[in-house]
Amino acid sequence: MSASRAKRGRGAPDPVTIQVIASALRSICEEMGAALVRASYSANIKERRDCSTALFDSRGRLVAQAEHIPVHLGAMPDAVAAVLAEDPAPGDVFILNDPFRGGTHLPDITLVSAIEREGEVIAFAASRAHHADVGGREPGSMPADSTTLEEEGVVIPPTRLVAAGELEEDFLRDILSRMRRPQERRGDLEAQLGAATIAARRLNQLVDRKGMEAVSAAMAEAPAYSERRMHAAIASLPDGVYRAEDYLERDARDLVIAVRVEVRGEEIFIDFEGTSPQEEGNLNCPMSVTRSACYYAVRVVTDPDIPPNAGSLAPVRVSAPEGSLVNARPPAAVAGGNVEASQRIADAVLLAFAEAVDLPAQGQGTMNNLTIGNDDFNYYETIGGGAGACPDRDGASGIHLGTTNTLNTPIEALEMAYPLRVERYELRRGSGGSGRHRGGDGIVRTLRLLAPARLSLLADRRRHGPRGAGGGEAGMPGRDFVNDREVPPKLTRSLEQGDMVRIETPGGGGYGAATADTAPAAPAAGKAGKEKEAAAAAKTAPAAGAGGGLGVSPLLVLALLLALDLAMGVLFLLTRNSPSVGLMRAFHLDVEYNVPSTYSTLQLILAGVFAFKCARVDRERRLGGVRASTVWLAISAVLMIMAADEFFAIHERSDYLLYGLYGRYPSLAQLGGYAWPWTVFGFILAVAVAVPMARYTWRIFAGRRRYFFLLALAGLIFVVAAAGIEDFDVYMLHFHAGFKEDYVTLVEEVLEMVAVSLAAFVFVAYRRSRLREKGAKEGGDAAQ
Amino acid sequence: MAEARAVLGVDVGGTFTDAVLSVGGRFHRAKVPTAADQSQSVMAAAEQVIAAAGIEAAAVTYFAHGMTTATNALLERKGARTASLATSGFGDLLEIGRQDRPRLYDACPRKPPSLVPRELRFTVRERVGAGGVIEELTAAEAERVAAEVAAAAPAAVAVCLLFSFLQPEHERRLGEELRRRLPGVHVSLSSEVLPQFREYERFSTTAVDAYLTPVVARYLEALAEKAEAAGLPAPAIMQSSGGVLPLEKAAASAALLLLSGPAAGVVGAIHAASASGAGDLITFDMGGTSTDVSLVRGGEVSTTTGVNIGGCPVALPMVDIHTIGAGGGSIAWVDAGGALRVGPTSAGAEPGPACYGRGGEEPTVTDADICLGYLGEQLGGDGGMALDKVAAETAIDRLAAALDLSRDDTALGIRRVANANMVKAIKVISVERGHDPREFTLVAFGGAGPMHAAELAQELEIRRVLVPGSSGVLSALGMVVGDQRRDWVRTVLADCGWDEGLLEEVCEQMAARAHRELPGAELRFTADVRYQGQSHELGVELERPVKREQVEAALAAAHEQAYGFRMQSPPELVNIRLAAVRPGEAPAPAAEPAAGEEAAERRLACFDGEWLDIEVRRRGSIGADGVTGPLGIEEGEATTVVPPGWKARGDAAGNLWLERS
Repeated sequence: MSASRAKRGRGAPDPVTIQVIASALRSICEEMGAALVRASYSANIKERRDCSTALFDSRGRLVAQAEHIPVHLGAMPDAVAAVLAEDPAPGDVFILNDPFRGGTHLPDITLVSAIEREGEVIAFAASRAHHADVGGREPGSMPADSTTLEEEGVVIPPTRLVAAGELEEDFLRDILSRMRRPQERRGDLEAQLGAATIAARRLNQLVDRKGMEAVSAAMAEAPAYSERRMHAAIASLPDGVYRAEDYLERDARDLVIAVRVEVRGEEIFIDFEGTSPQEEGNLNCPMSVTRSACYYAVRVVTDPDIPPNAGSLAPVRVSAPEGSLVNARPPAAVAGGNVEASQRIADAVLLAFAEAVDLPAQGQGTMNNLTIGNDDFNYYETIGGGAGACPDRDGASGIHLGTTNTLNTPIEALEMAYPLRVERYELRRGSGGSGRHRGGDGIVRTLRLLAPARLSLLADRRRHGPRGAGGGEAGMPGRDFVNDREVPPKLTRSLEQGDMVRIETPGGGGYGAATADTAPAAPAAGKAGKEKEAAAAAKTAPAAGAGGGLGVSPLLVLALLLALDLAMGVLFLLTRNSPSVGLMRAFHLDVEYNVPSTYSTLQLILAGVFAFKCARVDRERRLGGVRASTVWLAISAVLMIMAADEFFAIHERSDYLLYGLYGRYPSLAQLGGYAWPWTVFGFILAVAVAVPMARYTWRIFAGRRRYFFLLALAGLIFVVAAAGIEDFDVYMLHFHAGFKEDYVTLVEEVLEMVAVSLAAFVFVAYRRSRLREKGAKEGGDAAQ
Repeated sequence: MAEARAVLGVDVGGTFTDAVLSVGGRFHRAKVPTAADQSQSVMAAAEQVIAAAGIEAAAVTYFAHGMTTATNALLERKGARTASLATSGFGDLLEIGRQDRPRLYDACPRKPPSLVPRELRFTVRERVGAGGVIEELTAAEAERVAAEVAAAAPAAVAVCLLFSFLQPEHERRLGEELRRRLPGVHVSLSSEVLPQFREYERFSTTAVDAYLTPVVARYLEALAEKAEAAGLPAPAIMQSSGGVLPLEKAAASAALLLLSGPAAGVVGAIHAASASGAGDLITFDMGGTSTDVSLVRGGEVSTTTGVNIGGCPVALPMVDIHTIGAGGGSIAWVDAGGALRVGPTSAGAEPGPACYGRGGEEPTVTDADICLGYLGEQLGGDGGMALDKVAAETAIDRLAAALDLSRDDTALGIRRVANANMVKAIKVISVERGHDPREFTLVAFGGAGPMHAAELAQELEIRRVLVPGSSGVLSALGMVVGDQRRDWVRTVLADCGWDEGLLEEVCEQMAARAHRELPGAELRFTADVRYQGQSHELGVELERPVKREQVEAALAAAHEQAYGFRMQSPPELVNIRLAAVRPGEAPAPAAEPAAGEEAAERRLACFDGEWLDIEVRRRGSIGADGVTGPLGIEEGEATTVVPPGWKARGDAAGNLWLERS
């Protein structure tokens, strides 16, 4: 408060007055929202409250907002900014839905009104609502397979709907004529206009009572106050850079959302470098949607009670490569971006934050958008699913999560209004991931059509179940059926009378490794199609319970290997001067086909196998175009080649090849001072492999940087030992008579072995940490 | 004849149990601390007030009671072991709810625990649709499921089938089967509890009813026994709608009793105000930890059917009371943004505000009031609880240092922030429902209400504030004067449409039932209407015989008032509601005898940053001529603050009026 006191001039309102007015401004937004919900026609507004209302100051800064769903939070300021560019006059009301000019996706129509007082614009009021239909190819304007914006409906750039108090009737009639059920659309727009009227009336009454100066001061102070609180909340988060990746499913491909979250002091920087480019389909997001999803995640990890406005958003900077999935360029299709990609963006940002703060496992992460309609009706529904388990309790079942929070349509209301019958609406028991705390269960919803209609289904998390946390199991992915035949989750098609649509939504991830008493109870008696999943759940649970599900302990591996490394050294020292040549050869470090050489071979094979297992864990991870598993396979391959080399002494033998090339045994001088001919080629080979791989290895260890540095250290030790010391050794042998070779050999060979041991440790540790994150499923396989 | 009547009302609150006894138009009051066993406190308060009136217990002709047993059992989830029975395929409706989460940004979204655990949810093969029966309930299936339910040995069963509001036959048959197999187990049928569409709200209400009824019935039986032993008549119970139910009805349907106490407060306020001729009221009951506000039009409580208690929607008519967690004990603090905040944390009764001297150190609204001179060093004047002004000042000073403000500015700030919270609450029930608060009288009661009322009125531009004569025991007064009331609802959307004949027939059936169950009652029909395509109904008066034009005109007017515009679409009639009301038993109260003039005390009090030397008078000394503010008026435990520019006057009904001069 001292900051505001310092700014307070003579006669300016005091902080308490400002707070009282700020509270009144929030009341105005809430009153607008209540009126809009209650007077509207679209199910999505009236039943599910998919709408928001807000007040902005005369410069377009967000002052107060009544939110019903989070995805609107960061997107409203863009709408007002787009309208400000059109030079609004007092009393004008603008309408827009263009996602690239202040909108989100086409069904969200935004009205921005310039509130007038004595001939001046004193503020802007905005309302955004999801209309049941805005034209386009499919009823409900949410096609699953659109590739351009035009297919999704009427695109309205910021346009005057009311000019100087007069409704632009011709314009309105024109846009309504291109939508289905224009009478209803008009009703919804009138409800939005009603909200604008209420805002103008209430704000003027407030100014009458408090004076313009006090209201202006409150409009300036409200964001400043939120900003101070947001700064304080961010400051309490641990500084650092956190990364994560998550995926959207496009047919058989995964689209990557890669995020880098940096907490620095009182600010947060979120960047999406490495995210897939914008796609042909409609999972693209305009930047406004991406920002909203980020703000949602930030509010979850900071203080949800901070009043949302320009100030609460200011300390959060969001950037994304232009032309990427999360910052699409027109005329990309965007219907699914707002509803599905927004969920995944929030998931990815929260996943990154999970490295800094304790967060629950992932929830369903989809809205399961279901649109059924023909020329006579439009039915749109989003279906809840399982919430991720929390550190202290089970996840909630059958609930909306993330960037949405819409209500369901009551079955009795639905069946009275539409030619549809609901046959089942129950929890999908056993779909939540197991763990110390279980993930929430998804929902099964079955609908039968009583008339032919078009179906649009837009759902995700059908391949990748929501991840568990802290060793908890992943939740079951969702599934979709038409007449009991499984169908793709992104689908637009015709349905006949009597056809049946069944949606099974994902369960939430579990939290913590399952113990015997938290393993899932036998799922409810077999409904068709559930046995397989149930069996899978039952199979992994006991294994996960027995071994913690995370494979061997990395420290144990390291200790064992280091002990063996040292043992090799000690045995060498003890036997190098043995009178028995057999004994000496058996343990000599510089001789092939003996104990140390076999040990080194086995050690490299072991490290290769561990790297291979990392590839299995990382099957679904992508590192900007390359699968993480590919990188692991490459690492594993290099180790296997090294093992073969060790066992068959390939590089030593290659020397003879090179000698042949030279025609004779070359002198050191001829070799440029290098002891062995292969060194040069070996070095070139090592650099050629290591440099490109370093880039991907760096990404693989995002969020686990210590492993990267440990692996780099292992590589360095190996190279220094294999090339440097060995070279030195040979050099000394040549030029210094009486040089005690044994000790150098000892250091060199043992260091090599230690380096491999270290690498093996990194692989095991990385895999364990990934398994913790992913849930115990693969851990079960490993333990078998 | 009036001498023969002795009417007793007892209200159980969180801290105190209040009793009011009206004997021949004179009121007697008593207050005892609430014990763990509520029926004991009820009897203790009753005995005390009867002794005070100097009559025999047997002379009491009518006994009404309001209680918190139902609400507490629901909030603490201490109801009966309840099973549910739903249409096959819909067993989890109660847990799924409407799919939304209560708080948008919770890292760990939580749903309130379901009243029926998963293992007690049963389903039955049958299906009714909007057009009638789709799949018949067979006798074999009814027997099978009843046996299955019986095997789980529940203490109560909630039955809710799809579209049972249209076609209750299946539910009735299951009810019979269950009652036959489970004698003594309470069975709630959704078609009886709430025959209204929207399955989740109906199911939730039915489950609440099943869950609470065994607990409430046990309590009421114990109370009835004690009353009988003491020679009192069996108590009638205040229900959430503001009307009174006979004991047997109350013990059979606990969902009707959730707001028993607060509803009585509103009824008491209406009664007190009507004696002074005021009918359009905003009631403002500010206590230690919470504040209840409600809107009254033309002397009638406004009821709502959209109440959510303890995470369970209960769609029965209840007095529309908006509660916020702010009161005299609310603690003031500075948040991370440097703003002064008040509540929701409260110092409660223990340790209480700093000025109570019981170890509380945090500054509260009451501490601000004492620092500003609104409260004297004794609560309610001589004989009241002593207040420690120094402790209050110390607490406020600590906060003042953190805010870099003076003590006076800090104390004034606390009051204004607290008042802003109250203003917001009042706007929710007035402005947001389309009512202009300036047309209403603010009725202030509760420990802290009269101290804040004038300032709230100023902020809301309300011109008149009424402080009822018995503001301390207004709820108990409400019991005594409460009407007998029953409510019924029928969803007619699907099967009547606008057929005036059919609608009239429904009204006739409902009226016949009302005459049977509450003979001599006055009947009031209302209709829930909306425009086709909308989802939220508005309640309007329904005149008989039913005429479409009348309903349409009423809807247009209500829509205009609530949302600012009219629609062109055709209207739909969704529900018909009937409230049957039979006037209460108590006569109107006589005016309190005036205590006569007495020496006024003087005190320094701070208004708008200025310290003024004000007079503090006893309530009884304020006559009809009125006294101009600034002024303090003390009575019982409540102090009324009359700021400068306001005038206080007493009236013939014993109420105190504050008016802007």
